[in-house]
Amino acid sequence: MAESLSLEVLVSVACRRRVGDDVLEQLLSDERARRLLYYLRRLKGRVKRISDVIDPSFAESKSPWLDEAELAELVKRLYGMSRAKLEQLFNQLVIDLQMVMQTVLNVDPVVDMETNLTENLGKVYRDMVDSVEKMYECLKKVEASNFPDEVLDSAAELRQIWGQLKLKLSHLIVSPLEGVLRELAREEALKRISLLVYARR
Amino acid sequence: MSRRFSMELPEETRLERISALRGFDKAIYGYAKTLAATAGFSIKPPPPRKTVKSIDLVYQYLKSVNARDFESGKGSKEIAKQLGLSTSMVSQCLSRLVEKGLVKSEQRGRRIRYYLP
Repeated sequence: MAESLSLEVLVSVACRRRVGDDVLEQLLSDERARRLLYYLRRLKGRVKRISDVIDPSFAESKSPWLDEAELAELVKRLYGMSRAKLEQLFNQLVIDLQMVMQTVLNVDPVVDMETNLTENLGKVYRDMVDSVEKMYECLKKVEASNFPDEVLDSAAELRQIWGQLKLKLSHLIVSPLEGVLRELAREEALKRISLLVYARR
Repeated sequence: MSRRFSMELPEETRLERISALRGFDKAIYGYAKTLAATAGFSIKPPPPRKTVKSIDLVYQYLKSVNARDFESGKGSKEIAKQLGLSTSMVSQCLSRLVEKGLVKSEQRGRRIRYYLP
């Protein structure tokens, strides 16, 4: 409950210091804001999982000197194994974005009327769907081709498209909306601080 | 999902509604404006202001006060005072309206009154 938050935590929020999502959730009184926080968290998690599959990190490489054919074979196997998983993750990513958009668009109609919010979010959504389709194409090329240079080119294109999409999602959706929620939480924190201060007098 | 308006709101109502936004709605309004600006998307321009000509104002005023004869008619000074326009501007408008036959003028003594035919 919001009352259980200490003055120290409230001051941290008021000073715009980074706090956990659980703290933000307790300070968001609007149901829509809490829902948005939840969907954003899900979207971020999904982006991270896709990144882990597309661009996995290797802690240790025992055989760093691979030639082009060996590397292409490795990439082919990697994407071959994780294709079904990637398709599922992409589908879920599209759904997550839809949920975020649905929550954001659940505002006073004057906002949409003034800013063309539906249209602009629709552009981001269409961009994402286009990118996902291109990534499917790249995956198909990686699987179908037997030429190492083609495999590596397609894999590089896949990573490039994903990198651009990730950046777009981060800059247009996740970061600004998180900022919005942090500011809403800050307003509430300031109210609670003043209540605490005046209650002591 | 939000409900879209099928008709344009008058500017005053629009501004009132924007300034009345609170909490989540207000925050999303800020985000939507930033989204439109940062992504190079379009922000709908405000509808162009309708310029109302003084001549129309004068005519509409006479209509609104239902000036139909000398008694209910209005003098140019009074119209100017009510509309916040200069007397010379109102006199010019009235003479043009009289020329077009949209307004009648009648003089009794030193008083000239204008009214609708």
